[in-house]
Amino acid sequence: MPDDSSLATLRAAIDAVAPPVEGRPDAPPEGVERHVVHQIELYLPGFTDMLAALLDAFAADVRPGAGFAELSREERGEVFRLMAAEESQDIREAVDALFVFTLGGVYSESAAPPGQRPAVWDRVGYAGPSFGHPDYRTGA
Amino acid sequence: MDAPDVIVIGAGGGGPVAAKELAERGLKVLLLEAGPWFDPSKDFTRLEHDMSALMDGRFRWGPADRSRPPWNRRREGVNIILQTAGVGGSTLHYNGISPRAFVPSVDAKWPLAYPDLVPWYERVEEFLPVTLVRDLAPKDALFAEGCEAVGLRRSEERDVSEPVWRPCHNAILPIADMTTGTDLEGPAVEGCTMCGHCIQGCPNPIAAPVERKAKRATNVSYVPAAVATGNCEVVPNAFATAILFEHPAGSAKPARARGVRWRDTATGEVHEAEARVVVMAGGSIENPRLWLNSGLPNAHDAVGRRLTTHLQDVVTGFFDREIHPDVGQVTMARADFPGYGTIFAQGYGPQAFSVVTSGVGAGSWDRPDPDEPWDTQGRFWGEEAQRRNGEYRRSLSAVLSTNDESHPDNRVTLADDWPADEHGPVPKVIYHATPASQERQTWLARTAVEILCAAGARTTHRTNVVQTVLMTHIMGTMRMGNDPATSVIDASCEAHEVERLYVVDTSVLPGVGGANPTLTAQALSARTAGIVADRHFG
Repeated sequence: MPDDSSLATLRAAIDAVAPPVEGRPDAPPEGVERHVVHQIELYLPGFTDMLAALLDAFAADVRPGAGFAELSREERGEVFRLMAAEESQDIREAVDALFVFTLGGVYSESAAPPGQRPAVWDRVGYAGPSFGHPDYRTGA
Repeated sequence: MDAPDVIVIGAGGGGPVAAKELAERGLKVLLLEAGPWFDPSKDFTRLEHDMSALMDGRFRWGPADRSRPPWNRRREGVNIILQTAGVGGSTLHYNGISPRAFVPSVDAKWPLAYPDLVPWYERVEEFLPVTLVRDLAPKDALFAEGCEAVGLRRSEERDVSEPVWRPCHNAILPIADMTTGTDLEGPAVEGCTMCGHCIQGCPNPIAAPVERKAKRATNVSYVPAAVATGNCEVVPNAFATAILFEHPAGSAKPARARGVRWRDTATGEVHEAEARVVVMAGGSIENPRLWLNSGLPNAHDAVGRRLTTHLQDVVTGFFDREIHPDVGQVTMARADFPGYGTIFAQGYGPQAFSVVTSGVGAGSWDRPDPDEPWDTQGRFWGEEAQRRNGEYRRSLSAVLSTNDESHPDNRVTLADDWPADEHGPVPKVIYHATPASQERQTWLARTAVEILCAAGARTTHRTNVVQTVLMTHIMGTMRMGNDPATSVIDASCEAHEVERLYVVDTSVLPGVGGANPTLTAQALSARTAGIVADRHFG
C-alpha cells in the first residue's frame, strides 16, 4: 500500500489532470483516487510511491525546495510538461499512466458508486450502455 | 481430446478459421487459448472500464482472474499494446472492419499474387459474413460528406488500388429492422442494433444466441462452427509454453513439430499433447516468444523481425452540432490511400475519447505547431481539458492507420533484462517508426484535417502519437516469404526450418498497406487449412 505522502502527491496530480469543472467534480475524488492506485499497483506493485517520488523530483525544477503537492495547478502542469519531454521512456510512461488512469477513473463507470450512473456522463452527453439505437439516423 | 490430428495454438482472429476448416474436413483439432471463454450475453457489460481497461478489463492481455496482474511485456519505443486474451482474441474488441489488403501492397511484397488471395477472401467474407454497410450513422455520414467535399470518389468495391472513400465492409450482421419502440431486448431482433459497443464486445441483440450476435468476432462465428462439427475441442486458459519437436533423419529441414506443452493459467498444471501438425496463431508477439522459448531453429535470426503496427494516430474535429459518437457501428465509413494508409471514422465512449483527446500524445494543447493545419496537438490537462472533453457529443474522430515501413530492427525478441513470468522469458517488443513511416502518418493527419474541416469542423486536434506508440494492428514478425534469410514461413505458411509447423495469423503478413489486417489473416488461414489437409492427411 502506498504511504500517505505518496497518496497526497497522487491526489494533487489527479487534481491537476482533471480538476472540477466550475467547482463541480466529475467523479467522486476518493473513487478516482482508489481507481488510479488500483490500476497503478496492478501495472507495477510499488509504482505509486515511485511516481510520487518522480513528481516531487521534477517539482524541484519548477519551484526549488517545493514538493509536488505544494505547487499551484499551473506549476503542476509544468511538471507534466517536463516529464513528458524526457528522453527516458520510463519517465514519459509515468505521465502517460497518470493521465490514462485518471481519465479512466473520471470518465468511466469505475469511480462511481456501484450501480450508479456517473455524473460526468450527463455533462458530456453520453447515454451509457445501450441495447441499440432504433432511430440511429437522428442519434436517438 | 485423445490423439488430435492438428493442434492450433490461439483462438483469436486466425486460429479458429483453420480449426473450423480442418474440423469440417474430418480432422480432430485441439484449439488452445491462453485466455478465458466468455459468454457474450452475460459477460459483455458494455461498460468501458469493465470491458476495455488495460490493467483489469475483461479484454486485457492477462489471466481470467482479474485480481491478478496482466501478463507483462518488456517494451522499447512502445507504450500501449492493445491485445486481448480470450476465445475470440483481438476480434473481441475490434471494430469488425474487414477490408481486403490494398492490391499494390500485396503485389509488391508477397510471395503470392493478389488474385491468388481473392477466392480465400470470398470464402471468409461469405461465411462470417462481411457485408457492405447500407446506411450510415450520423458520424459516418458527416465523414463521408467531408470526403466528398475534398474530391474523393465513392467506391463500393472490395479491391482497392487508388484513393477512394468507402462505406465499410464490416464483419457485422446487416442493420436490424428497427423503428421507434422496437423491443431491443426481445427475441425478434436480428442483426446489428447500432448500439455503438463494438469495442466492448457486442452482446447484442441481447436475446440472440451466441452464434447470432451482430459483430462476427470468432467467438460467435468460427469457434461455434468448429465445435459444431464434433471434431474440435476448445481448451481455454491454456497458455502454450513450448512447441515439442524432433530432428528428423533425412529431412530437408532441421526440425519437425510433434506437439505442444501448455500451462493451465488457473491451476498451474502443465499438459502436453502430440499431433501430426502444429499451427501457431498466438499473434505477432507471442508467436516469436513461443518459438524462441521452445528452442526451435532460427539460423538466420529472422524470427520476430520486421514488426509493423500501422503507427496509428487520431485527429478529432469539433463541430457546432451534435455528431453522436456513441451511436452506430463504431466505424462505418473510411477513406483509403494506397501507399499512405487509411483514415476511418471512429466512434468512442467518453473514456476512450478523453484519452485520445487529452491523455496521450507528443506536445501539449497550449503549444500548437504553426506550420501544421491542426489547431492543437498532444496532451491536455486542467479545467480547459475537461471543458474540451465536454464537447464529446459534438466531436468526430478519425483514426489514421499508416502503411508503416517494415524494418528488421523493429522486432520481438526475448527480454534478457526483465524477469521471466510463469510462462518463461517474456517478450521484448521494440518499435521505432522509420522516417518514411512518420512522413506517411503526417500526410494522413494533414489529409484528415482537410476532410474534417471540409465537413464543417470548427477546430481540430491531433493526438500526435509519435513517441507514445499505441500498438493495435500488430503484424509481420513471422513474415511470409521465399527467402529464409528474411522470412520465417514460406508461401504455404509452413516454417522454412520446421516441418509440419504452420502459422496462420497477422504475424505472417508482409504488409497490407494500412488496411485493417484481420480479414487477410483469416483468408490465409482458410487457405492454409486446405494445404495442411491435402499435404499431410491426403
